[in-house]
Amino acid sequence: MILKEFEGKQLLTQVGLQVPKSVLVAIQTADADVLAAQSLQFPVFVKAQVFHGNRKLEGLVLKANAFDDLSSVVKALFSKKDRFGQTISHVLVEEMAQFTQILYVSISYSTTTRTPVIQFSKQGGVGMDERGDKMSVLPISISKGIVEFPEYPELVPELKQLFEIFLKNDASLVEINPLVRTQAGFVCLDAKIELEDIASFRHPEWEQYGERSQIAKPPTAVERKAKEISRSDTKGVAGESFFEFPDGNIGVMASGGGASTLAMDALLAEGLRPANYTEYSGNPTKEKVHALTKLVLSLPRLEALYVVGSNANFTDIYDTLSGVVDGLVQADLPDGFKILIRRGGPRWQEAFDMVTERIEQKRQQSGRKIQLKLFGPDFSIVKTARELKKMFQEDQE
Amino acid sequence: MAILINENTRYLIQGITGKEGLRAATGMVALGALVVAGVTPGKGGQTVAGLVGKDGREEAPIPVYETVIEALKNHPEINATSIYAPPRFVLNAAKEALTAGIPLIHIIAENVPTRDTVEILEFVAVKNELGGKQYRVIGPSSVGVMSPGKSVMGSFGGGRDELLLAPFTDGVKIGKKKGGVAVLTKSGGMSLTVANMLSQAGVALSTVVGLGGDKISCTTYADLLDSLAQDDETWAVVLIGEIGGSYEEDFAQMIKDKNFKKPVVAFISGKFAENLPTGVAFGHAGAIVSKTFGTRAGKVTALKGAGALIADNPEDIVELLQQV
Repeated sequence: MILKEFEGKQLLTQVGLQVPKSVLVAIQTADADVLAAQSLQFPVFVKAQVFHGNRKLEGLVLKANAFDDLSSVVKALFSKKDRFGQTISHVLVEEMAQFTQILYVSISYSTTTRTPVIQFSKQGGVGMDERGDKMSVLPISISKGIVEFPEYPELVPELKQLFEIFLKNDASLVEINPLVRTQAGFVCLDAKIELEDIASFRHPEWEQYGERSQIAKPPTAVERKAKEISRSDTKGVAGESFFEFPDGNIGVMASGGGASTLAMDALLAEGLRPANYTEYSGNPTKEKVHALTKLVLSLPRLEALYVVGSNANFTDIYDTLSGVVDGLVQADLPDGFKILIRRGGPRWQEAFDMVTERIEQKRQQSGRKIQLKLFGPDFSIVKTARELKKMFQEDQE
Repeated sequence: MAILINENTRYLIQGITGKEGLRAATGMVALGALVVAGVTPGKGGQTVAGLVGKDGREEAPIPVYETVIEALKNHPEINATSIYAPPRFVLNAAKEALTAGIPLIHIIAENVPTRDTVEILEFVAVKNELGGKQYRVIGPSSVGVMSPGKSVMGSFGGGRDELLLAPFTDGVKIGKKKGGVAVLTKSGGMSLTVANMLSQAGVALSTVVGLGGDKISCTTYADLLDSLAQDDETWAVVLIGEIGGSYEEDFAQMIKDKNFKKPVVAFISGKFAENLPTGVAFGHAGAIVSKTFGTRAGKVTALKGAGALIADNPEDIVELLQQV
């Protein structure tokens, strides 16, 4: 999950790093909070607390020259929306720092070194991506910690503190940009911290952050529900990754991390329009797959359900496809609805008999035409997309 | 020889009395793997009985121990372990196995915090720097490994006998080449899917490895390059990769650095994700979209540059293997 700037800065101050003097203003208690800012030295920055970057360019960081202006500046920010149309709940009123140098520093995991790495630049600030300056990268050992930093030796104490935050909080990213050099030492003007959700079992304190998206874009209602379904028990995943595409007409329920991306590529290569991406795997319960199927079938304008996965090693195909069919049977499928299933793995033949029988019952009960195609483990995953396309073509003939 | 595991591998299963651990033990024994002991704290002294071997006969009960050290004391021949523990216990379970001196460790758990994985890697590095016995951890989120006809580790194949992977034998040929093909993937499902497909096309397999799809993997494609080069039963490598991270690029670089001579056929999925918002992980924790890093295009370019053949579809792999 991503932390907002003020939440990140709370972690920074806990380990003794310096941040500018500030006051946090919440929308519900704005008047009282603004009063507390009287003690700050003006002019101040007023910064909307949102999950994405580039705030300054998007007008989400304003300046108040005097205390008398503050209230209207704060109001102006609260009337804005963030990049994703979300309302702003907090603004941070912060003193300006006098500095002599702007640095960039981050700590994250590198897949190249398979260690935490420090990335560092002596030219921090906005527009780093555009400038494309090369950052220096230094791997760190968890057991040895940071011993030296030849490129900027004065920064070693701050780097140690940042690394402590990184480890202690199971962060995947701690980024300070800008980190400025002042007469009073180094000061963190901004903080972007990302925590690794899967470590929440050892962080009861994360409850304060509530539900968060993995990316800055907030989840849609359906995406949020999918995650809830996936986490309703600990058996496998079903909907942990979910992504909605506007204008699609094919509901996707892929299985297996690798096969799911393969299946999506195949659909797009055939010019078909998936309405979503999602994946279930690791032998999830029938109930979980049922709930996910219901959710996928609730997407608007669906004309087909595409249930495609790899040859499972240990996912019970009978149980999981039972969940899919439970969802299909209960749904009000439009006439001509198409179902394509490609699976292999434990009990797949039994599962296919069950699917065939129950969909036939559904046809009879609903009186509607429902196309069903089933493919076993010997059939190419990629070619299923062509088969689905054929089903659409046959429909038109 | 095959890589990683063969007919001489003797397994411990940590967490053998749990549901998934027991299922893995059952599957491994059914496919002929030599599971000699299990460990579950609090259940030492019990046995796991009634498992049926490849020949259809019931095997002798498998003893369960309190600790890995105790299991090793009674069964010094153990040289591999499969860890079936929940994510939060994986770090300690792996350290226990490494401390006890088991050189090959498999971790199936998904959702192991990255910090724990990196600590395991550091622990392995410290042990390996001492010289002597070399240690390797496969995973986390690895389905396991199979050397067809020889041995299986973890949940690969699920113990089903309809799973007919063509083992390497001296007689098997593809084109003019003798020997087996090694299949390396991040995805458990894809490893079995591709292995099934190759077997059906008559391509013999030396070893199939599910490396796991986490951001940080304890063993990557590149880590296996030396073993693949040395393995006289492997004549070619099939690499199934996906968007995110740098392991495919690292393998390409390693091919060049080490002048790896065996043919490599690669397939990379995840093209669709390139136009989506960055930061979303698709199915695997490591399959994260980024505009500039870990893209399919970048991986394809790197692998091509190292002389690998790129399959546009998994189905094309067989044909490409015949061409080389």
